[in-house]
Parts: sequence; structure tokens; C-alpha cells
Amino acid sequence: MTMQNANTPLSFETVQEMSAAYDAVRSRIGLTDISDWAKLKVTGYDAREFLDRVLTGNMQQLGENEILHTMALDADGNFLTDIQVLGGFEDFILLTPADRADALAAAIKPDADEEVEVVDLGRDYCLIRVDGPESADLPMAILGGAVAGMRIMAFAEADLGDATVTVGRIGTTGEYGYFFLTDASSRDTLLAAIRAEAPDVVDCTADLHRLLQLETRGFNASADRPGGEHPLEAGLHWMVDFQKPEFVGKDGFFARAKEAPHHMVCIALDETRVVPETKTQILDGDGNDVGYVANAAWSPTLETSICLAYLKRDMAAVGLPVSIAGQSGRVVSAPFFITKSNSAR
Amino acid sequence: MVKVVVTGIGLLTALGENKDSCWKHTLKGESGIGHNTPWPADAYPTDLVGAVSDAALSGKLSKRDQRRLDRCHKLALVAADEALSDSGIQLDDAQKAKTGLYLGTSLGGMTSGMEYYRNVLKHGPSRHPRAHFYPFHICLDILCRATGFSGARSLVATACTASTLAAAQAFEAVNSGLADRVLLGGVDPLCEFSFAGFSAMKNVSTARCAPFSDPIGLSLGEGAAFFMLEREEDAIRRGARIYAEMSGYALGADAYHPTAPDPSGRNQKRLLREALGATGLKTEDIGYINAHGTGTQANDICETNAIREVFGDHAAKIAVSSTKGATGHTLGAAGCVELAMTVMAVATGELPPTANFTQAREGCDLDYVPNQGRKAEIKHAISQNFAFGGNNAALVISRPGAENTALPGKDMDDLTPVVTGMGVIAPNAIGADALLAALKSGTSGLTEDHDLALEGQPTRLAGAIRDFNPAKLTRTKIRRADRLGQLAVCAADQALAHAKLRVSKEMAERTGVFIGTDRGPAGSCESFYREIATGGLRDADPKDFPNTVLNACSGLVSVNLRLRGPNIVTTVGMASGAQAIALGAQLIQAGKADAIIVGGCDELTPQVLAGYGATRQLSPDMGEGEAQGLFLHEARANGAVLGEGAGFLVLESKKSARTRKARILAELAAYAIGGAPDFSGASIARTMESCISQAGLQPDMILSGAIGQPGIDQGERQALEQLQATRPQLQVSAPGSLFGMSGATPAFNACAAVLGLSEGFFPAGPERLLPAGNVRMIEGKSPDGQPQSVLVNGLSIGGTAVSLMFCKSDGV
Amino acid sequence: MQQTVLALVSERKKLVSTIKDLVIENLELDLEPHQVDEDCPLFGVGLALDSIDALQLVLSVEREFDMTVPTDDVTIFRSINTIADFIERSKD
Repeated sequence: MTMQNANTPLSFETVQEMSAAYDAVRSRIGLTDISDWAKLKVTGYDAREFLDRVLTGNMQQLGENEILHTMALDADGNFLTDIQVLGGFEDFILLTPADRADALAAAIKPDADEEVEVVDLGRDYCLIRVDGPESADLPMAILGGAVAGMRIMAFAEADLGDATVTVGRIGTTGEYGYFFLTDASSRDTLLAAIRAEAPDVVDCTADLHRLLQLETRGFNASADRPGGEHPLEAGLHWMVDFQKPEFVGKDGFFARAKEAPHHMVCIALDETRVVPETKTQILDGDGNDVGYVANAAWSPTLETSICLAYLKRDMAAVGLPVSIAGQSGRVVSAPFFITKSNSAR
Repeated sequence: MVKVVVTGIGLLTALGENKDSCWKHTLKGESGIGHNTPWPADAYPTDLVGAVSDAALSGKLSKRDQRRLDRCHKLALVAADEALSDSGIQLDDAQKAKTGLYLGTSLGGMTSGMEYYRNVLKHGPSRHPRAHFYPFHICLDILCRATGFSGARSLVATACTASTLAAAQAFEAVNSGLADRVLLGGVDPLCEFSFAGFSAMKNVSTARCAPFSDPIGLSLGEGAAFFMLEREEDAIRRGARIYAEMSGYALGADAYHPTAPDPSGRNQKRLLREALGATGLKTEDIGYINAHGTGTQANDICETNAIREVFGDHAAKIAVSSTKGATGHTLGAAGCVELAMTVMAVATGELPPTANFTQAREGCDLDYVPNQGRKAEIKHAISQNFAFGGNNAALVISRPGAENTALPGKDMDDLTPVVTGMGVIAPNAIGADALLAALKSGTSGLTEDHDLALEGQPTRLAGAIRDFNPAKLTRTKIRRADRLGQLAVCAADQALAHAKLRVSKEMAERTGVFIGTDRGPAGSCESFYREIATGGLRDADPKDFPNTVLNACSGLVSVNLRLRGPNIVTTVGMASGAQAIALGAQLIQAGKADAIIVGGCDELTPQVLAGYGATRQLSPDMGEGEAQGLFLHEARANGAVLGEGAGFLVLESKKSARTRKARILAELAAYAIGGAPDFSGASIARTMESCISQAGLQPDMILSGAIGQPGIDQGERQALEQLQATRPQLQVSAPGSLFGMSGATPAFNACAAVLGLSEGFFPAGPERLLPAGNVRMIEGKSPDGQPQSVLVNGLSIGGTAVSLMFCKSDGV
Repeated sequence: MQQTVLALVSERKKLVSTIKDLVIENLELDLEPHQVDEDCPLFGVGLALDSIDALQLVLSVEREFDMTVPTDDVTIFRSINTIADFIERSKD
């Protein structure tokens, strides 16, 4: 595995190594231990108002047992991290990938006069995700009817033996996908239950998810903003409540959005095995510089290289023919393809 | 604490034409569900319904009533008559004036409404006799005329909990002395409207409904159940037979989803625990539960789980049956039909079985008393119902003389209802500050410049809210709601913010919603009806049906603002908003909620305007003169001008307001509700007097409840003249004419009263060109001085009168 | 060549803008066109529209572009961009 540096493009060789896991997620079922993710529990009378203040999304609309994918900014409006928020009445769980743990901690700092308690669940809890078309009914099979028919971006709590497991459904790979959050001491019980129900489950690494997410244009905070691009250049409008009167960093965020020159697009290269490096210049059909590569990889499903790229706003349109380091391609619509889970629906 | 007992029962269902025959067939495990829909069933998956036989109605009604009345009203009259004769009660006029009428219904005159709509679809809006029988309050008016009972009244319309909630309110009325006794009832007819709705939602079983067994699904039924409720001491004094004691109740909301029950069942469990808490009973005191048991997948499992969890080991010893297999689901009548079954079980020592039971459904493992009644001595029983909007209600019934644990006494000062905030979305003002400005400047919201009228209609003038932009008024999720729901949520959100009341998880269970509406979701009803009328079941959109129940709006408020306390909708015409404030205050005093959003909410649609036009209730159709306008207490008054909007107060117990150091805007010192068997407005003076004497203080000002109908308004005017004759300094005004008429109007006036008290001014009405009578009203400009107490009236066509006395609060 | 690329980009941008307006107006979204990204998922995540929106969207597209939308094609209503792709495909 050569995926040490997030800026290193996924090469063909590493994909071969990963292909078993990739195939599992895209056609059957894969399991990833993401226990290293940052996990904060935010509770208290002011918890909802506090999160509404420090996150960009609309916390007033987050119902109990619903998940909101949103983000946090610093006081100047600079991006800190994206966050999956699990909604309760006065209790919330915040999840964010391991490499943004510090950013999350920086964002979630209540004022002294706010009645909010923040608890780092950190190592006391484990977080396991299963993804793939065959994961659809897994939560019900191991946790029972209480979690049957779970909608996307929803979660529930259920008992597994003596343990309480929070199971939620998110869709970052484009396949059916669930995460299971439980006490670290119940990790083995949970894994055993999953393996008993899905004996063929293949272990995956967090690296693989960068590729899976890229294929469906899910947002990857570490890979998709190589130059610290503005979140709205990255197309994260849906994480922002534009009507909200006030939130941390709002003014700076919108002021900079106006000046942001780029717009993220998906580019599929014409059959090639060469994966362009991050920041490689992109030329349009006439040879004009129109932008640069953000996050690229070779897609086993499409059998060619794909990338997320920043193009100048006025040139960012599907259908634009481009050339990247001599390879031809064109701007396409997200997602790069319809997954098996999605075409079954 | 007063003991409230049942001394008369009337029951009319598919099982039989009176209480005794229903009970006899029930015990045998028979089902009244048969192949006899009153409408062509070809388009539907089944023709199985629980219909009342025509013979049961024809023998007991005059030919004229038989021909004219809506089926809902016929069912009600027959069952009410049985309850009265069963009680053996004889009342003189003075006693009748203290006898209440409390009803619950989900559909009311919808069958007539459909006939009217059918005519509209064919010929456009026009006069049609059925239009007169459509409004919900007609049922109350007809019963009032038949019985002469003109005491406090309520008509609850919360779908499948309607008459359960009516029973809870009736209990409170007798308990608190608002009425000496109450004729309580629930009624709903079979109607294609709801049959199409439940069919579209795929909830209807193609075999006879078999609760907790197979197959899954419900059967619809119709029926009516009525009761005489009175104080135990009165019943003993007159030697009445006492069937059972109504010993308490619990109300709540899921605040989870507009239609689906919360799968966690947390609120159903809370309901049962609160029912026990309210009566001081322990789990092992309960011997029987009459379950909601609709037969649907979602209900039966959820209900079973909640009972099992709350009662623990004792759950196995409790008999739990659903009588819906026998009667069908009688919707708004279900609460009272099942209360009758529960009362009979307690009174006779026999348990009504669950009919059509073959084998227990997976996950259903309680004792459902399958198919055959059996003897059991029951000291205490619970009857519970759940409705769309996550609305939950449970009643506790006890054998007379069964020992109850004494409950701790209440500190009535702590429970005094105070106003801590308001939400206003009115034709002339959005928000409390805007209302204050509109009242001071006399700005009217009446206009012809709106898009809520049909082409070619003579009437355009209306109090329409123009440029209503819900997304600018609330950050909650209401894009999908109908106009009524959006008005309710926006105003409720505003009211909580104005009261600076951010509801904690604990407080959520103690915070309720009580909305009065004249027309309910007129727009949603019309579009759903249009779907069935044009495309039958094929076009009936299952998503639209749940919006057609009157409590869809209060359910939306509870879901969006996460309020889990009592959730009620009442409909008594234009007085509805005042009615909701009065009965909401009663819940605070009863300790059933610490805070409650109360008031009126109504939407204006082209068809509402056309419908009121068709029944000739609008200016200038009702009197002299051609001029169109809302001329309250003027000689040229000639009908109503309709309005819309939502006006809510946050009522809070004084204790709750003190605890959270809230700003108290005013105190609700007293309220009174009355009715009249005619349209003369005779009840108005009596209701005002009652309110004034209860408050123990004379008002400095009265805000008129006039509605622009000469006959009704005259009754109020005479009462006002009499009061002013002895107290010349008494100020009177009618700001209602600034808003237009809707169920929200008296609530807007209540907001005006509260602003008058908190801001220290007398809210004036517009200038009157041609005053009627001798009542002196302030017009155009407020006189100097500050009111200490303001009386607000709410009146409606059916004869309902409500008076609310607000006074300055002694502070925190 | 320059002319053709620019024409292509401008035509696509026009189509995307029409569809954005259509979606915002017909679904009564409280958003400005520039507040919706054309690659943003419409259902589940992203704009998180529901099944009623889906029906409404099909009707709106059929009416606006005078075409029939196949009900079994799961690729069409992924995003503003995929709707635009479908309309372009149908024109050819």
C-alpha cells in the first residue's frame, strides 16, 4: 500500500492490491474499521443552539434519529471540517474522519455561558462501517426489527446482547452503507455478529474509501481541496443553510465565495491507465489553461482515470473537452456511474 | 376533587341499534363488519365496512330530519337520545344552561361536503342545500337544539382521538365546575372520503379486520356513542344508576412524524405511565385495556410493545382487547364507542373480546380475549386511542367505589394561566410588534387585492395574508405543509420565540398545542376530494389524505417544534380561537401542561370564499345596504368579510413562568363558554356575566366578538349596552373588523387585549359611520389611560359564545 | 474551434440554468440559483428531496421540455447535471 500521502494519486498497482476489497464493496459487501474517526458527544439544554451557531447547516430541522452532513468554519470563515451530525433532542454525536480530529475539536468549543457538555468518545468507542449492495439488510439481520427499513441519513439504537449499538445509514460510497457505533469493549461481539451474518465480508482500508467516494463524488476533505479551495468552489452548497441569520465565520465565508474563481467538476479521461498528479494543469480543446486536478484515481469500474478538478467558473460545464498531461478527456456529470445498489432501487 | 361518573350510555354501531344489543353481540365475539359500503365499491379493494343499519335510524328520527340531516347528525341524535333516556335525568331550564355538550368527530358533515363539492365540480360554486350541513359545528348546534343544553361546549376534531379528547375535556369540565354535567359523545359516519383515503394508504384489509391477528389491515366502521357525565354526589342524590367512574386521563403527542407512529413507542409508554400517574394507580390495579388495536401493522405491534414494557410482569395478567374487529374503526367516534365498551366491562364484570381473531400476529403476545367475552372483576381499566399527527390519549375508568389513591392537592396560584408570548400572522400584521403598530394606527387587513377569489365571484373583499413567505418566518421544515399547517407552524415558532421559551427535553413533554379552527384544512380537503371525484382511487394520493384531518396543523407544530404535551384541535366556528384559549387554560389549571400554545388558525382559499358566498353569509348578503364591508355593530352590518391567519398565545402556569423568570404579559383571570339552541345570541350575556363573576373583577374594556351577522351581533350589543348603562367608563371596541372573520379572529383580539395590558393602551376599532344601538365604542383613536383588565368575546353562528378575561399580572 | 467550445459551454450553462430555475420554482425551494450546485445529489443526501418531489420533478421536466420521461431510468434525476444530460440525449 503506497497511500501514505493523501496527495499521491492512487496508482494502478495499488488498485490491483485493493481490487479484492473494491470488488467486495461494489458488488457484495466490505467492512472497514474506522474507529480512529473523531467522535464527539455534545449534550445539554443549549446543545442544539450551540451547534446551530458553530455549524453551517440548519440544526432546527435536524430531527431525532436523523443525520445531517454539514461543516464547521473558523471565525474568519475558513473551512475546518465536514461533520456527520447524529441528531437527538438535546444530545448529538459528531463524527468526522481521523485526519480532521483537530479541526473538529477546534470547531466544537462552547462558550462559558452555553449549557453544553462536550465529551470525546475517542477510544472508548469503536466505529465499524459496512458497505456494498449486500449490506442492505444487515442491520436488521443482526439488530432486529427496530432498525428495519432505515432511510438514508437516519440512525437508530438497538441492543446487541449486552451492548447498545448505534447504527446509521450514510451513502458516501454510492452503495448501501451503514456504520455501527458501540462501546469499544463490545467491538468483538459486533464484529462476530456481522461476520456471522455476512461470512464473505472483505476487510477494507480507509484508503479504499477515497476511491469509492471519488467515483460517486462524495466529499473528501483531505483530498478534494489541495489548494484550500472554498467549500462553495467544491460544490458543498447543500451543507450550508443560506437563510441562517448568523453562524460562526458566515461573513468571511460568503465574502470569499464571491471572489472564488473556480468550480469543481468531474473529468473522465479517455481510456488511460495514467493517473494525473494533483495540481496538474488542465487545458481546454483550444489549449487554453482552464484549471487543475484536485483528486484523481483509476476507476476499476470505468477502466480509466477519473478526477475531480477545479475549472475556471465560466468554463465549468459538462461536455467541455479537456486535455490533462497529454491525455484527452471531458467534463462529465456526477456521479461517474450508477452503482449496483442504486440501480437496484 | 370531584368524582365524575357515567350515568347514561347510548351506543349505535354496526353491531346493534342500542347499547344493549351492541353489548350482547360484542360479548359473543360477533362482528358487524359486512359487505355493505353505502357507495359503489367497484373501484376499491373491498366493500367490507361496519355500517349502522338504516332501520336503527329511521324509527327514531322525524321524517324531516331523516331527509335533511347529514348521516353524522342522525347517528349523533339517535345515540344522544338513548344516553339521555338511559340516564333518566330530568332537567329544568336553569339546569340545562349549566349542562355542557362535548363532542368528538373526525368527519362531521363531510358527506354533505362531498355532495356540495360534487355540485361545485359540475356547476361551479353556487347555492346548494348541502353546504349548510358541512361545517363541523352544525352537529353541536343540532344537538343543542334537540336537548336545550346550553352550557360549556366543545367540538374536538383530532381524527381518531377526537372523542377520546372530548371525553377528557368533558371530565375536566365537570371536575372544574365549568359545567354541572355534560352530554359527551363521539360520532362519525361512513364516508367515501376516508374510505378512499385509507384505501390509498393501503391500510384497509380485504377481509374483516382482525386486530393483533391476521390479516393485517383495518376495516372502517361508523357509529356514535354518548354518555351522561355528572358529579357522583349529584348522581347519588337523584338515585341514578352509576355505571362507572371516569377517574382520569393522559394526553400527549409523539412529535415524530405527521402520520407514522414513533416506532420507539416512547410516547405511547409515557401516555400509559401518565394515565397511571394521573389517577395514582399502580400497574397491577389495571385489569383491562381497551386497545386502539386498528389491525394495521404499525399500530398493533407498537401498542403491544408499549403495554408489555410499561406493565412488565403484570402485562400477562391484563386483558387487552380491541373492539374494532366488531365495530370497524369508527374514527372520531372510536374514543367514545370504546369508552362505552370499557365502561360496560367495568360495570358488568364481563370483558368484550377481540373479534375475528384466529392466531396471534407475530410479535403480539398479550391476552387479547379472543372471540368470546368472559367474566372478570375489573376495578380499573384504560381505553386508549392514537391518531394521525402522533396524537395520543388514554382514559382511566374505575368501578364505582373502587378505592383511589388520594392525589396531592394543587396550588391554584401556581397553576394560574399567564401569557408569556404571542405569535401573530394576521392580514394586517406579522409579529407582535407589527400587531401593536397596526392596532395603534388602525390599519385594516381587508383588501380586494389578492389571489384567493375565484373568477366571477361577487365577493373579493377579504382579510387575506398577501406575500406569505413561510421560509422567512421559520427555519423548521414546512415546505411540504399546506397553507394551514404553514400558518400554524410559523405563528407557533414566533410565539415560542416571543415568550423566549426554548423547550428543553423535559419541558417538551409538558408543552402542548391547542388550536381552534373554523374551516380546518379546506384546501387539502378540496384537493383530495377532487382527486377521488375525478380519478377515483387511482388518483387518490396517499400523501394528501393525512393533511385532510383537522389536527394535521397541530401535529405539524408538535413535530417541527418538538412539543410532546397535549395536542388538540377544536372547531366551533368563528369562536374557535377563543375556545382553544379557554380550554387550553383549563389544561394548565388541571396541571396537564406547564405551557401550551393556544389560539386560532384558519386559511382562506378560493373555495372557502365561494362556499361562504354560496351559503349567503358574506357581506352584503345578510342585511340592508349594498356596501361591502365588515361593519361590526353598525346599522349597515350585512354579513361577514372573511379573514385568515394564525394568532397564538403562549399560556403558561404561573409557576413555570416564575421558574424560568419569564416576562409575564398578562394573566388569564377567567373564561366561560356557553351555547344557545337558537341563533339569537341569547347565550352571550350569560357567558360574559359568568366570566366576569368568576374573575371577581369588572373589565375596563371589552373587545367585541361581533362577526358581522346582525342576528348574532345584536345579542352581544344588548349585553354591552346593559354593562355600559351601569359602568359608563367601560370601554368597548371591535378590532375584529381590521382582521376579517376566521377562527383566528378572537385570538387576534386576545393578542390585542394582552398588548393593551402590557403596553398600557386601549386598542381601538375603526370608525363607525352608522352606529347601531346605544353601545359606545372607541373608534379610530385610543383614549388616554391604561386598562387593568380586558374581556375578549368570541362568537359564532351556531350560538357558541366564549368570554376570556385578561388582567394585568402582579408580575413574576 | 474556440468558438465551438465556447458555444458548447454557453449552451450547457443555459440549459443548467433553466433546469435550476425549474427545480427551485416547482419544488418551492427557498434557494437562489447560485445556491444550488449542478452536481449536487437531489435525493437522499444533498438537497435531500423526497418521493413527492420526485413526482413533481418528472411532471415539471415533461411540461417544460415537452417530452416523456421514462419512469424506470434511475440515471436521470441524480443531479441538475444528469437531468441536463437526459435532455441533451433526448434532443439528439
